[in-house]
Amino acid sequence: MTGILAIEDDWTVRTVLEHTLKSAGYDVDLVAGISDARQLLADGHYDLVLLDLNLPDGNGLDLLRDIRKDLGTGVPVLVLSGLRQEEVVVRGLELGADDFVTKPFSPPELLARVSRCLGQRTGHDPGR
Amino acid sequence: MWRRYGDVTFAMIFSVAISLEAIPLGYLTWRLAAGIFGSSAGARLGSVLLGAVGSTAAALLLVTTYVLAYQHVSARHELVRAQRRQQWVARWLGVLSGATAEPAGSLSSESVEALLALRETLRGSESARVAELLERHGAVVELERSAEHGSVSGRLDAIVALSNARIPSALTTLVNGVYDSNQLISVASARAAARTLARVDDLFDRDRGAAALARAMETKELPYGIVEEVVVLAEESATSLIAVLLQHDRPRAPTVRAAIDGIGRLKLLIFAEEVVPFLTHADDEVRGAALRAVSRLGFLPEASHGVVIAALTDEVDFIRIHATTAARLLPQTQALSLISDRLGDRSWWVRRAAADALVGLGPAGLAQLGRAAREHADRFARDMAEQALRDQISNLVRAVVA
Amino acid sequence: MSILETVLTALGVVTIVYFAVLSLLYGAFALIGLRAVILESRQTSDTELRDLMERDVFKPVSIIVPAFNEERSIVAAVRSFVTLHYPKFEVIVISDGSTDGTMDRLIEAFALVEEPRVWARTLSTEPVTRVMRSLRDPGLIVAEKANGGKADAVNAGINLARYPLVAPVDSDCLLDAQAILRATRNFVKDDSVIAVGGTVRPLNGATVVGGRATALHMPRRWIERLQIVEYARAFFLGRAGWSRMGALLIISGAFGIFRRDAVLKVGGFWTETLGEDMELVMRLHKTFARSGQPYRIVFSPDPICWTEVPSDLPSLLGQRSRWHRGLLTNLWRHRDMLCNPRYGRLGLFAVPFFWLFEGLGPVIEVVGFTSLLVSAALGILDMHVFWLFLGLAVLHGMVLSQVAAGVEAMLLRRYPSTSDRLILFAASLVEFLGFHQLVAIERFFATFQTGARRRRWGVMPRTGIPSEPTSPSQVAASNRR
Repeated sequence: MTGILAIEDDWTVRTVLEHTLKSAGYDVDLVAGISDARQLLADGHYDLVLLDLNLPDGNGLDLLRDIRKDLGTGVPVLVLSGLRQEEVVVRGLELGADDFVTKPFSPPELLARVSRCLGQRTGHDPGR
Repeated sequence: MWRRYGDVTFAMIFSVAISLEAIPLGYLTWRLAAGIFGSSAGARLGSVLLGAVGSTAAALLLVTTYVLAYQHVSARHELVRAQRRQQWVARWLGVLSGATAEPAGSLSSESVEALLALRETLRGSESARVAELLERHGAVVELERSAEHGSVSGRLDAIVALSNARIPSALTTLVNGVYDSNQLISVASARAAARTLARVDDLFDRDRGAAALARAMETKELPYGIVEEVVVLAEESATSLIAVLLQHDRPRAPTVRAAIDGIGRLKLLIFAEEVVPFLTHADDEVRGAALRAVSRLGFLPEASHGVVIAALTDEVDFIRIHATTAARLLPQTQALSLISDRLGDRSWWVRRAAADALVGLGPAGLAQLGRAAREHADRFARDMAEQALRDQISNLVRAVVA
Repeated sequence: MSILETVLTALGVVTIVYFAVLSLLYGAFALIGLRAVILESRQTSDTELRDLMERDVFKPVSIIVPAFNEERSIVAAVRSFVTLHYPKFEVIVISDGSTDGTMDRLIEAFALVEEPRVWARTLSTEPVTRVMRSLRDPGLIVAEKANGGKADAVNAGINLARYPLVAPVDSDCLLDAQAILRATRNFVKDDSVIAVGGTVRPLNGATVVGGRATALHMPRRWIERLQIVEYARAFFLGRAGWSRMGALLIISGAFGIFRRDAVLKVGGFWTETLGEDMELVMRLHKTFARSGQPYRIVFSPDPICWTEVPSDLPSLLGQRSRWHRGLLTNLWRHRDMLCNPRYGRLGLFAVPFFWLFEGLGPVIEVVGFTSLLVSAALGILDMHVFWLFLGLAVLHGMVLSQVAAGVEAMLLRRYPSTSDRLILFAASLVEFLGFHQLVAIERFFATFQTGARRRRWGVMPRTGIPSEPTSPSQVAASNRR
């Protein structure tokens, strides 16, 4: 099964992510902070990372930079953020984010972007 | 961030505790001040003091017991509630996807909170269905009632909940709230109304709602910052709101300023021509806002060139700053030379604005900066030009390093 | 004997009346403060803060960090500032002629490069020798200047600041991620606000992850615990109450936000006092009240700044002595405000209160208690009455401390366990059985050592803010050193 790591601190968004992704057949690990995410990324393999930007223990962009530098450069990263400001989007894309989903989001749109990210990186669509 | 329950009770308990203390202390002060204190008064003094010690000890006991109980109960209570809310979010998601049946009857507070959270988290048709659920189960009517009656804190909670719910039918209640004599309620209602207005799709209702909200804000004379926030929060409906705000008989300067700033921020080009007359407004803040909006919109009709040029040498510093930024919309040769003159302005901030404006003009502006760095008659102007060029270089370096 | 008796009796009456009035006033302030906190807690919702972040309705802020020989904590502190949640801000660190590795640490950690730069020298300060920019964090500026004291360093920072709001923050502080957002909210909501003070809480004992205080634990030493109670009382009850009455005289130098134009209008921080934070607020009040312009200076309990408080008695007493001397210098400098109806509630109530109960308080307290004790020893006063009075003073202090601890319990981030609550209760008892008196004696002596002089940096042995994720036990261990 396709493994997704979701890093998000808001409990509602977490529950929605979990519900949406699991019902679409993905295997989801949820963490609320950067340090937990680092641990999981160092230990295991994921096919996709869903990353929130405003996290209690730091900025998601810092983790993104590290993911691209050290922690398995290939994994697609889908940034999930409420910040609609252009600078942040641009900065995220510069740092190697594959796509952006802005909160609030619609579950079907999220699933479409997830499967597109997975498809782009691996060349096929392992979503369902 | 605070726990928003149990605090009012705590304040009441503390009032009781304070009164307990105050009575003997007041009596003591009064007796002593009245001068009845000799060696013979020792016994009487002792008994009053003893009373004061006793009542203060009782006050301490009361307060401490409450704090300890609060700590204990709140920790458990929150854990349970958080779990229930989460279960409700999952359950509502099931309802939305058709997997679970809709619950019958009135909703618990956790289930309403879960819906409100989903309303904020989801978008599009899912979010609309959440709104429908909130209305159908009577949660909206209930919140409207709490927003209008009861303690200030209870009302604020309900208004915040309505601002998350963004249900058009609650708009009237929220606009009425703007008229409230309590400033907190008034401001919170204005924000909630703006957020709700953003979700009113019917154009007729939108205009009517915008008109009512604008009237309320004018009557209450809400400050500039809040009016501006309301305009921005109204999103798609901002156009209606700004139109009403500017049409108002004799709009207040803070309102006009907020409306014009909103036009610039939201880049509402349809208002581009309406901004122009305000370039000559009597209020400096309004003029500044108009110049700022003109720069943001990038629209400056030829007839107004003279106004901007005159503003470049205005008495007021911030007018010159905004005029300098707007001057890049003048014909290029004119813009280059006029902005370059501002590099020698007496205010550091205008010099900085001039340098930034030249950078914004692209290669021609950079070339002009280079010339100014070498040849400008004013030493401060040369320094500023040089600084701006250096900033450009270090930005490039930073981009490469990052 | 009869003259002595009369004098002692009179002193006793004055002391008891003084205490009773003070207790009643403190009780009333606490009630007002508590009410203010309750309303404040409902004023700013999470939705509102998110809106602010996302929709561009904010005022950009320049955070100014004066530092003098802070090589141990500066990098962690600056890192915590540059990672704050705020859409637009810059961090300006001013090294005030540091003689240790402060600059080197910063240069190394943030890839600083020197950048010749022009700026407005609106406030006159000791010369700035170099300005550096970070290649990593676009919003970080570090300036080095000749030593001139903390106020002088902040003034230099204000000169360099580009944004309309300036926030002087102590370099040994950590700010909550949303602190700036919450504080600046007050400027948006009300155009007449010119300054906002936040709450300061002791960092000692907390777990720090990524430059943020994430979990609270009771520190090991009683001297640290006492200060937790003290700070809660001062901020949640005292300042909240004064602010509600429109008569706030102090914004803590550890963390406050000011409108830049307002600070420039009054000429920046005054360098000749040990209490430059309070002095600036007094001067703002004075200037704005005279100009007749409507203005507000407010305290907001929610933006929280965490600071390392002294963990040994000598440093603590030294700190309190400095504070007290600063207070007296400021009151004296602005003595024309005393009982001056031109300054409204401030002149007629707040300033007289500060003179009587804060400025001269320690003198009255020490002299009064001594005279009561002597009276009791000589048999003029029943020993019984003396003990009752002492007991009353202790109990009253404890009630206020418990109310403050109760407000703390309403914060989402509080000391989590019931045993911590019990320790706080015990701490409020211990505070008034010795500690409070020691501080009063220190301030008593400080009263007689006051004179205007250039503010030197308060020296306090630092354990340093842990820069990496640290477990509570490690923090405790480092505090024990």
